[in-house]
Amino acid sequence: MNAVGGQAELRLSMASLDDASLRKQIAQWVSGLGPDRDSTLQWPLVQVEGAAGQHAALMALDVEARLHIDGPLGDYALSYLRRCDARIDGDAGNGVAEGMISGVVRVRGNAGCGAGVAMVGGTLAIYGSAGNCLGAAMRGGEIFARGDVGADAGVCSRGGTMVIGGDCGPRLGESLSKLTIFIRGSAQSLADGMAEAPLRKRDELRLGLLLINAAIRGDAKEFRRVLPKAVLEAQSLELKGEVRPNWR
Amino acid sequence: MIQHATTQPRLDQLRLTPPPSDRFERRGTPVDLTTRIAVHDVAGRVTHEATLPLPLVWLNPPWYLSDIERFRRVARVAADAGLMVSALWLELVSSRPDSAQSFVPRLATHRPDRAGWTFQDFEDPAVIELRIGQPRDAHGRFAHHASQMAIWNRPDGDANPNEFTAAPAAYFPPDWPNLEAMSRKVMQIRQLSSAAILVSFDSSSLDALLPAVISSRADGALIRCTGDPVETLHRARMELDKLAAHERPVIWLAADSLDAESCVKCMALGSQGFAVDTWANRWLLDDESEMLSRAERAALSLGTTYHENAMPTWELRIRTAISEFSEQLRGRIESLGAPAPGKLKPEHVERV
Repeated sequence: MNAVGGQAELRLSMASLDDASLRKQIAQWVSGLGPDRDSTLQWPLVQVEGAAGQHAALMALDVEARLHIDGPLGDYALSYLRRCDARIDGDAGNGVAEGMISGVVRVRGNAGCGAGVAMVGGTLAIYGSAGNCLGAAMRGGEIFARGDVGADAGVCSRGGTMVIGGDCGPRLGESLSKLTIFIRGSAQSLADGMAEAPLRKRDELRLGLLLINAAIRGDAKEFRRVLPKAVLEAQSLELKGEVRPNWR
Repeated sequence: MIQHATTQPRLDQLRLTPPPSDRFERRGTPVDLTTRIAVHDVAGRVTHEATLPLPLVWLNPPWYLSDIERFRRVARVAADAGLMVSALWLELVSSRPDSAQSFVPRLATHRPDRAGWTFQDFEDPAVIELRIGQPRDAHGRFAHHASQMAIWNRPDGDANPNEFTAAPAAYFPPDWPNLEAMSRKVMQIRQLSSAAILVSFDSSSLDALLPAVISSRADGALIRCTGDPVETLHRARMELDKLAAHERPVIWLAADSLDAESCVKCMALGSQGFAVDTWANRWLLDDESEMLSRAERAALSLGTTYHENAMPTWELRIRTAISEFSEQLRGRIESLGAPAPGKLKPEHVERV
């Protein structure tokens, strides 16, 4: 434990600590820093070494801290996370950031199946590619995948935002969902009841901000929207000034 | 008296062994129905036991066809009478601050699409049902009802079901590339919860899923029986016989219309617990006024309540049904000379 340039920093190793001890030490250290910490400083940094694909690692963390994990993690890593700003310098397994409530998870590698499954808030950014069922059953929050994405992205989702920087496998989207999808590449196919449309001005603005926040390079104009046909029809009526029926 | 006609021919061909007529044998030991499910850690060691008052569970309460407040009242009473009730945290939360209380024993269903699941569901249930597949709804679809979607997606208690539509349900977890992933999901739940884990699946998938349950070191399987339970239990037994005794997961059954006698026969064949939805569902689906006494109905029509007895009629009806069914189980097990359901063996049933 030390302080670098006024920033508190803790170093821990997954090789020598089991997951429960690791989580406990992080929580104790952050709470020990006290509530009177200078709020203009960045959140304290926890460096986690020895990551080698451990499953179910660092789940349910609820601390105001930055977490840098040096190496890959396995399935369900960082699931049910709150507040924490986490970065994995490596790949992540299936179900990374499952059920995330708030905070940020950045995967600086590839992610397996069901990344961000059932997340309700927060931001998941995948700087590589993602497997099948990205954002399945998500109810809120934002997912960014810089690379390609597998099949059935957004299946069973209810809401949230998904940004896909590369191409996408078959059956993209969920027709009964309020999930907003932006895609730069091409989708092999869309799910039944989904349609592709160009960005509106307001979407360009929103997406531009989202991309800046997720530190993903690119121009919002390069993206297109994928949304339920019923929503698209309702939006086109709105543009014409007609009364919008309940699209459901 | 709860009696249901069984429609399972192989079960009907079995009877409980009568007492011997050629020698003296003492029978009539008091029977303890308390059911214990050994909870394992990620290494497969037993850490503690989930203790349930009865080997019975109300697995799919159809609260979405009734009234969520009514379900909350009924579930609390049923659980207090010893019945394990399936309820998610969001189903227990309403705008009334005093109603966000859980009850014991509770079962929380972790569906493939996590519908309704929140972090609180790891915290206090006795059992987590890790559901693979999905039972059909009233119209034969694999779907969540609009009222379910309203409660699960709007936890503030004033959800308007008209704003929601039925939604297709996933029947395989989207984050599993294959069944081998079950072990990692079980590991995750173990780290977040001390509940016993029962993996539930359809009996048609038994050959593929029971080996996965065993290799994932879940605590048991809850098999949704679509055919004859005897056939299902026979197949399960063949699979379990390959294992050492200390590794055997418990088997619970969810089958239609099992009466107490059928349950005891199934216990002798290897099942440790049963879903009782067939008769418990009536507590939600029957006309609520039929569950009230004449005085209570009159009081209700006058906009007041009737409290001559400490216990309302509907509550008495639930408690009586659970106690009567338990007594029917207890009596039959006692007649076989076994002190507990776990001591029943295949020798306790014979072909007619």
